[in-house]
This record gives sequence, C-alpha cells and structure tokens, in this order.
Amino acid sequence: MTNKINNFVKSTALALPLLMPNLAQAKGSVETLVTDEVISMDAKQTYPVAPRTNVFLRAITFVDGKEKPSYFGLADLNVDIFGGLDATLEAQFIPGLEISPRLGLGYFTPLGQDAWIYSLVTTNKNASDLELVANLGYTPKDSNLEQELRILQECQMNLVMK
Amino acid sequence: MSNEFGHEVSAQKLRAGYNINGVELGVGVDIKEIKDQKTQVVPGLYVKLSN
Repeated sequence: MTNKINNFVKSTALALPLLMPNLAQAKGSVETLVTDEVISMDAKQTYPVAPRTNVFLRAITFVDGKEKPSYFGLADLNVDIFGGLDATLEAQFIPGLEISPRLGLGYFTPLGQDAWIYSLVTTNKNASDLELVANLGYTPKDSNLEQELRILQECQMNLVMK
Repeated sequence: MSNEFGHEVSAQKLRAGYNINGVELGVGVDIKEIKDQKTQVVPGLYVKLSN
C-alpha cells in the first residue's frame, strides 16, 4: 500500500507541469545562503492550476563540502476555501529515499500595511506527527518600488505524536 | 527544512535583505533544534532572485 501511495505521488509530481497552462503566471524565487559551514539553495515556485487552486513546489539543497549534497523537497496543492484559508495536500520527499504525503490547513492574512503572516498545519497519513509552519514577513512600503527592505522569519516545528 | 520524517525538530529561518529590481541581498541565520541534540545556529549571507 505504501509503495502504491509513493508511486502515485511520484507520478502526480511528474505530471504536474503538464497540468499547468498558466506558466506565465508562475511566481518563484531562488535563494542561496552561504555560510562558513554550508551552502544551501532554496527554490520555490507557485503555479495557478485552476480557479482558487495553485501548486507550490519547493526544493532545498545543502552542500557542506564533507558529505554528499542532501536534498529535501515538497509539493503542495492548495485550494482556497475562503478568506485566506486553504486546504493543503502536501507531499514531502527526499529524492530516492522517502515520500511523506500530508494533509492540512493553511491561512494567510496581511498584518496592517507592511506585514503578513502565513501559517500551515499538516499531519501525515498516520496522524502520527503534526507540523506547524509559520512565516512572518515585513516589507515597509516605499514610494520607490524598485528598492525595498524585506525581513522574513520562518518558524517550523515538527512534533511526534506519542 | 526541518521535517525529518518522524524526528521532533524545530527550525527557524531569519532573513533581512534589501531588494533591488528583484535581486535581494542580505544576511540570514538558520537555527535548527533536534530533540536531544545540540542546537545548530548558522549565520550567513544570502542572495535571492525572484519574479
């Protein structure tokens, strides 16, 4: 059964680009963080696939110069229910090792003119863990839109349910 | 990313940067705590490209 779920998730992930007619509307970013111990790359893409529905893809790569590069990825299908509340079907994966399908709810809301918060709560198929992701962003608005300060805090907790 | 398929773990990612025409440069800190292990605090510099 687990293999069937894994194969389904892999097949869906491979087919997703074919289901994306609005690639021109895709939003994304690539962030590279360089430290004295590790270089990490965090790539994110969001594609609208249907009204009130989008796909979010994220791939993270770590290179530390000692061991093989490590990878982590996730794919979310988000459906806007109402007022910033999303239902989320998520697949987290480490290529070649494991896939973990998850289900949850996300919520986005602006905080005043310049800040926003996004939170996502998911659980795995056995409901044996609970994951909370909270993003807090602050971008002061400036009349010069070509330059802006951006501050982001992302907090993530994974709790194992006993 | 913090989720390691069954480990109790928390991670924080702090970024402060300046965006000019879609290119963001700044400083960042990654903080990772895995239960019963030493907390990792990793500061660095980042560049972020976005559309």
